[in-house]
Amino acid sequence: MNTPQKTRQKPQTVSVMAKLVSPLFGKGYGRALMLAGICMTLFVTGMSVLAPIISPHDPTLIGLGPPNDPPSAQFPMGTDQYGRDMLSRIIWGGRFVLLVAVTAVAICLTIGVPIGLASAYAGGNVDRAIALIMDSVYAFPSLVLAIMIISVFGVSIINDALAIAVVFIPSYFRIVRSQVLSIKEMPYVDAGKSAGAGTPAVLLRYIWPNVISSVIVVATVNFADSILTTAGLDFIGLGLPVNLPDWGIDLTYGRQVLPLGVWWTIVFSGLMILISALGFSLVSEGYAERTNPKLR
Amino acid sequence: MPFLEVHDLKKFFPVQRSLIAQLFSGASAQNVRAVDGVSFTVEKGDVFGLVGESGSGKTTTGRITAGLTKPTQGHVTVDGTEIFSLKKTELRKFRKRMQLVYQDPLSSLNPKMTIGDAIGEPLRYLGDEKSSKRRDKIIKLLTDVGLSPPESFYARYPHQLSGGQRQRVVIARAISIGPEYLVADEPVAMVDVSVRAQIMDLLLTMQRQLNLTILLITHDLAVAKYMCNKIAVMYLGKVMEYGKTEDLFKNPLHPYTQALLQAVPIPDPRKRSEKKIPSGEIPSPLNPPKGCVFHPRCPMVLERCSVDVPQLVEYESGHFVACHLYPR
Amino acid sequence: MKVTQRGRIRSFGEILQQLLRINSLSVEYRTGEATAKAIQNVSIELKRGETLGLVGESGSGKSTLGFAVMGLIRPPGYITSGSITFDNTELLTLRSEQLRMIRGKKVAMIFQDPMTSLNPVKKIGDHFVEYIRAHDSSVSVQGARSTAKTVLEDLGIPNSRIDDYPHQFSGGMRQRVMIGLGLALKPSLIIADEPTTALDVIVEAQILKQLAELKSKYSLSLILITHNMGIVAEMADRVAVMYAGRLAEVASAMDIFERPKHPYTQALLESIPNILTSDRTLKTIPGSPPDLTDPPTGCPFHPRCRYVFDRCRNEVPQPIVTGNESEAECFLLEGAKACHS
Repeated sequence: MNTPQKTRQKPQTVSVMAKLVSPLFGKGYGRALMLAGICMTLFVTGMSVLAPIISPHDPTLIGLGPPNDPPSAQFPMGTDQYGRDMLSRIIWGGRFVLLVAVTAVAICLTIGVPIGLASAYAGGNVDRAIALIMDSVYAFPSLVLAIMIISVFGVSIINDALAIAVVFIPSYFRIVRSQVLSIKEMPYVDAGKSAGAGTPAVLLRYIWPNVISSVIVVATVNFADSILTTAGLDFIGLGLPVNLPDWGIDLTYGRQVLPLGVWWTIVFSGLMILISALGFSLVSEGYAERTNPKLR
Repeated sequence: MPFLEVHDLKKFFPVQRSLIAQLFSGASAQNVRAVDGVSFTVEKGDVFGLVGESGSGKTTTGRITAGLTKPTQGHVTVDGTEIFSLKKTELRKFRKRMQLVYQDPLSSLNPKMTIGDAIGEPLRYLGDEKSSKRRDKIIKLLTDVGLSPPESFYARYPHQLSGGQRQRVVIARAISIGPEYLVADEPVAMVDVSVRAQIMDLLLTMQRQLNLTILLITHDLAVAKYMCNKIAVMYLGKVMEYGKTEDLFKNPLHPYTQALLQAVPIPDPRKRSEKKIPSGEIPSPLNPPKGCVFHPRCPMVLERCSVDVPQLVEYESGHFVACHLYPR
Repeated sequence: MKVTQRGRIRSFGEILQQLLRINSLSVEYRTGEATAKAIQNVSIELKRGETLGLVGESGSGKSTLGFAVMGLIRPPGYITSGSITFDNTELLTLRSEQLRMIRGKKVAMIFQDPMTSLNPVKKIGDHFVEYIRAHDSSVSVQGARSTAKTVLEDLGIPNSRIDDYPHQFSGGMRQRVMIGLGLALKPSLIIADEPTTALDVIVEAQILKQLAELKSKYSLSLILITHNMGIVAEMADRVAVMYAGRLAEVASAMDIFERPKHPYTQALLESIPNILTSDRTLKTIPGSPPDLTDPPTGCPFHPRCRYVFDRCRNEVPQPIVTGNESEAECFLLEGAKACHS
């Protein structure tokens, strides 16, 4: 009787969190983490979507309370330097940031990944030329490039997303390309071709499934980074329209007032950024690992 | 009419150079002479062994005969058709008749595809069955290669199988569309020793049942002797000697063949003997020796050997050798 | 009770002859979810000047045994029981400093893949210098280099190449460099782990021949770890066959091939093709080597054994003496030697 060899493999990306959490959950830690990730993402998304309903005050109204007031019954998260309610700012602060981040990731996936796949699979001098171009863009400091683009095209959600996407596309390209270059030499791709698979089938069924997990890793980093980049743009006034609340802006202002002992601005906005980035990471890594058959 | 005829086959690979080197360097690219004038014939139903060490060109030759790599020069005729004069679409259809069994059972299966799907790939693209019938065919194939219960294996992934089981899957995939010709590239080299006999016997059984013609590529003379009825010995892209297995082992003509036979470790301590082993190692295929490629290491080298390339001569019926010790 | 050679009374001469003694060694690899029993209760002896062929397939534990003698078992690998005595010194209780003195100087290991075992950015000569001086910093660079040159000459590598880099050597030459490194400190025991697996047949024959010559020139004892029965037949005085972490059988090379006692050894020998015979049928062995994290109960070979009976499934066979310095772990052999208890 043939018993299957169960190769129990550790998940490819064992994040520090996993190492910390595993004593608690043992074998189920992967599931637990993904569940946590889903909760975080739902929480942040839900909060952003329901902002008009659940926000106690108008986040842009200045002078609601004394400036830099610590958390109290009236303002559970305190106020910022303009006397605005931090709680409302936190609830509203996610909407546009998340929208920009998601749009940026979407643009990167639709542009960076196919170019990487096609270029690497085609190979030859064309591939090398494109790689050269991508490397040049990659070498640019991200914020500077984003600023350049926005100065030219103006401020809006789509432009912000585009600027961030342009900066990050080379990363997607590079990861996809390096994976494809090694995968396309594998005997199983050869076997697929000699089984009669045409180029679309080879790319879709042989190459792409083995590339996905690394793309997700990049997307994760991209997402978190775009939140911070948006904050950076806000600070210079090139991000979102000044009026709108944004965790990134609060984070930046929070840094300024921290020496004064005003901890609530930076802590709550920082926490929200952390939760969204982490939630997204955990969900996408959890997804990548679940689609990795080695863990079944 | 022989099933497979290979005539003066050559395949050169240009050495990879960087973009800068290509643009700025004046010197032309160097070539790896992987296959450098190979000729032999294979009859239908033969298990024909291509034996050689690394750099001999056996794998490249095998791939060319299966239509997977285009030769730089030379002709490959399969069942009367010169396969490289076919148009691309015709060749694709012709490839239904020729399949490859790979060396490494792990990397020749897509890690993200189930066993059932993997076996079904050739049927999917090259087969005539409707997709509903496909599953039944795959189940039957799994049983034929000894993977039971087939339904359970269908849904598994390659990493859940042992090396021997994976190799069975690879064989099942190869025979799924009913090819006539199979190129088996080191099919047991990466399989556990105690499992090798199973796989070799499976191939031979399939060969008998499906009347396959098999080209067996291996560096292991013992495997070749067991499985093949004809063997060709290759060195640095050329055929040194070929003929019926019994003839080759009873009466090895070429000094290289003799050296190989002496060098193989025999699993029998009573047969220990003083060995005459040629010195040196296989030269680089970028710069093969002039004349006979084996001459720098040959214990019986003559003056002629460094100048003239020896041609294949039929020494006795069906037994060919390319060596100046056996002139026309 | 079965008496094995462990229980035998030894003569003084025998004790002097014995170079290495592994006694009831067990090694485990513990990964997060599973524990693999890489070696279970293995006992072997090696005499001075002997070549022991350690044969087994993947997962048999043969390489692990070599690492254990070299003191190279690190977490997640753990030695859970047993002792290793080298030249009357117990290795497992030594501190790492003392072990370092033995490793290299008394026991050296040659690894399988010469391509990745040498540092590509270091000249060959520098490999030797670093290695020699790590064991004895009083040796000068010049002294180390001259030792290197002597050793390399013995291996057929000209002195002029001592300042070449590994990539400038062919595969066979690199393996010779590895062997040279092994010999540099004049050890008494060399453990060669699949030394020719990555090499072509003719180079393999060259290397094996050289190894045999060097063995007598340097008065070495040799443990040759391989899965190739042919190599073992050519080189070994005694053969130990391992399967799934246990020692299936130990005997002289002649006995192993002519009178194999363990069903695994028998089946293995009947399943490998031999260019000297005209047999057109090989006996296949069903199944495949077991998963060490989930091994079969009782005798590890029982699922594949043609003689299996009930006891094999439930009880693990202990070593049974089958002749002069020969043992095998199989219940079939009990009847014949029952009188020893």
